[in-house]
Amino acid sequence: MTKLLELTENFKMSRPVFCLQLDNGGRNIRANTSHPKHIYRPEPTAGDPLSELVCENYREHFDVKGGVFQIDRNEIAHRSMQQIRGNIAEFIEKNQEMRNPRQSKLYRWAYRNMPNHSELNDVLVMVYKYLRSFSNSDMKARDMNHVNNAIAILEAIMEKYEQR
Amino acid sequence: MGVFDDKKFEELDWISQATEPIDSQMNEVLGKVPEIISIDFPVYKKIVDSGYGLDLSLVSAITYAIAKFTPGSPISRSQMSALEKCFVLEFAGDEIILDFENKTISGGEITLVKLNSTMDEKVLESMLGSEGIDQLTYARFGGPGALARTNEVMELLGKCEDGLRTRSERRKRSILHKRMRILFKNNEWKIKDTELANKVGAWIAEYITDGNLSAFSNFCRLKVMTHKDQPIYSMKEVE
Repeated sequence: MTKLLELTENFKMSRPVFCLQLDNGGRNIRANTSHPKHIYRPEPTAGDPLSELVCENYREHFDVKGGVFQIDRNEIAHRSMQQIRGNIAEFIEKNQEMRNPRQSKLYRWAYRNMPNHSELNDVLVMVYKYLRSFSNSDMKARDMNHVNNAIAILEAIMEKYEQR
Repeated sequence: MGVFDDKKFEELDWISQATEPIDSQMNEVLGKVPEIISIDFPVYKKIVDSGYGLDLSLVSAITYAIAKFTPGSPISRSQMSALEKCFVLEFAGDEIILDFENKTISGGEITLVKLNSTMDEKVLESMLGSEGIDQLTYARFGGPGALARTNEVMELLGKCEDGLRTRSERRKRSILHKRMRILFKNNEWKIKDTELANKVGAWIAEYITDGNLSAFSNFCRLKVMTHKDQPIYSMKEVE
């Protein structure tokens, strides 16, 4: 997750300027905090799947008392990590050459039993980066030559972290 | 001054005595709030600070205005829904911008505009006694002696023969509710003050629940006053 947290460091926030709208025949004024006038959305680095993922998970919320937008970097990193873990299971499901990949030991481990600690998470981030180098965003491999290698890496990781 | 005198009615001018308007605390509140209140950035911030988001509702703007111009006037939910019809939020300008960086509202002006200076008589009429009747919903009719006290109240209210006959707690409650609603709908007792009307249900609830004698005494006094067949604006209450 360290890598993901690093990617959130340069994130900025939208300016707290809102266009007000009168609603419901003068019974309500809406500020629409999800669409401020000068909205900020982070731009991912081209070709960097991790950057794309983290930018996709960018969320800001408006603090009424403080009058500023705020982001929770840990939450963004955590959400991105969860997505990586889900995508790895999806990769196994879509690319493992089996009649029913969901029945495989590797898929069940990735889907259900994968431990959740920082050491493994850091490894998974790098694995995800490797998987995306030959897969689409929906985790379908473009180049099948890498699939066996990737599955072997995942199996090795499973064996290592299963023993603990 | 006698126990059954109506001081408020006696102090009314001849025109009010002749027309018998319904008196309500809400008219006082409405009178004190200015015709137009400008909502600038500090006011907007103050209003939304008490809520959860940045949207400003008419109710929160009215609550702010009442707290500012008539402090210490508690407003119930039913009173607020009546007051909502007397105000409106207005925009002057095409694009009004709320800027938290510069702490300004630019591009126009937001105002809370008062539409009426007094409450509509029909609205007040429909509100007579309603809050008191609501209190009856939460009264305990099952305590020791509560059913006997309910019968006493029903005898004083009159037209509750079914309620007097039944021994069912639930049925007595529903008949009492119904009778109170009809009593205020037709304003049989000619009560012309919303606050006094609301006290009737509260007194009944207190007496039935705890046997509170001062509440019962007030209720009896009011009943005696109805025999004069005059509008009732106030009465001397037992503390």
